[in-house]
Amino acid sequence: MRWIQNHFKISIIVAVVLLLAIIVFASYQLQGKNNPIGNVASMVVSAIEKPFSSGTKFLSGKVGGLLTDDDLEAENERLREEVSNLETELIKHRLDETELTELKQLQESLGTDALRGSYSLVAANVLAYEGSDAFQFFTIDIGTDEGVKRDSIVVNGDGLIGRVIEVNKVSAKVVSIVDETNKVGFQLYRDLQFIGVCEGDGKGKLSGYFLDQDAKVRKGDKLITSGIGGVYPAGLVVGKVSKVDRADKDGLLTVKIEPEVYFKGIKKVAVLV
Amino acid sequence: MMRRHSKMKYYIAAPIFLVGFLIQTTLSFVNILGFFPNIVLCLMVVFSFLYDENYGIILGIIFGVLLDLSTQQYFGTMTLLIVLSYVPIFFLRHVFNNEKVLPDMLMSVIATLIYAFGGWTIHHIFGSPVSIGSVIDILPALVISNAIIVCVMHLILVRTIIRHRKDRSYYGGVV
Repeated sequence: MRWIQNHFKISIIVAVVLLLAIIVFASYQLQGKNNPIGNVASMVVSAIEKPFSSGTKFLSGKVGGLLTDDDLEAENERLREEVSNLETELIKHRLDETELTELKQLQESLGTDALRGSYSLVAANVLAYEGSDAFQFFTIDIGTDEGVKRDSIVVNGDGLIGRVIEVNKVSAKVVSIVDETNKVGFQLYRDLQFIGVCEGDGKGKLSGYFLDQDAKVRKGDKLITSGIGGVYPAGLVVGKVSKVDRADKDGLLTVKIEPEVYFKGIKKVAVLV
Repeated sequence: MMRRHSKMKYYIAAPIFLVGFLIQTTLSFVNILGFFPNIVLCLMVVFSFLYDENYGIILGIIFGVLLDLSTQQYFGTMTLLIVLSYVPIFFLRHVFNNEKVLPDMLMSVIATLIYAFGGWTIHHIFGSPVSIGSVIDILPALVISNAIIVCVMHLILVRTIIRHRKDRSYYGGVV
């Protein structure tokens, strides 16, 4: 007690550190549970960020526009919008086709939750980014009001981005597949019978293995989600095989995967609801 | 060691932190080189080093909580990292002359290292696949960019503690 009185400031710092460590651990334990106070606080922060986020994006567009021709910039913007719409349509088709044909059999035989009915896509803007750079978390500007739930899947025109880990009425936090603690089930797009599992390799890419050691996979092959595991629906582009290793010590056919999505600098996404 | 004293007011410091927070959360997509400096951390370092009052750490905790609410996977992570980064500043700030910029930059380097490795440790304990290698990859750029921000902020704010820097005989009534 005397020591605490003599070192009051140090004692406060130690107490604050211990308290925060407990809060972080509790947050980890309670992740995904409904937390009304946290939700309200997150909504307030999102409301503060929203106008600023729109403003910075508008300004960055204008600054970029100063360096290019206005007509060219407008044309580019129109084409980007068109490509985005087409890619969104493509994702819908991929989901529909893959789910309704190939995975129906797989679902029946494996009893998975691969087929969860049809999805609709809701567009969202990225509101805020996690600042540490090593991790790929971000916040989007739609929440439960738009039908977003925990574990809703987030995509863009390039493919699978990640899933919602926390949601309130007006915003949601997203974790990318490269930071994901869950494994992602994939299948070879060229030959859907070959399935496997992948996860973040710790360096911003993915690594995984095929369940069939004799899978005919080669560098450059496109991989899509298999739907196995129940979190990620089938048919979303995961990435391309960048390295194949047939001599894994466990006897598995391992692959390195280059994600199709460039995670740094994502501005617009779509959420499957 | 002479240490200059001056009062900074909360209504001046808080908006600076607010702007730093908004820039950090909404402008991070401009990470052309693959990194973005942690502005709130930098402000905490500068304010903690320059002023004897607890502006730096109190505002650091407040905006750390906002960062946790805004972007962090686990609530409390950023606040904890900010408090941990403050610990060496708390012990070392009285050793250095606070009108010099180099010690402040040294503080920012130490704080950035604690922040980067501390953040990785927390996420690693909770199962994140991110390797320490990817943290080390961006560390030099992050350390340099944070140090530059601290340097700029120090040179701006140092005027509030030394009103007539070039006048060697002026002590502002406080020694």
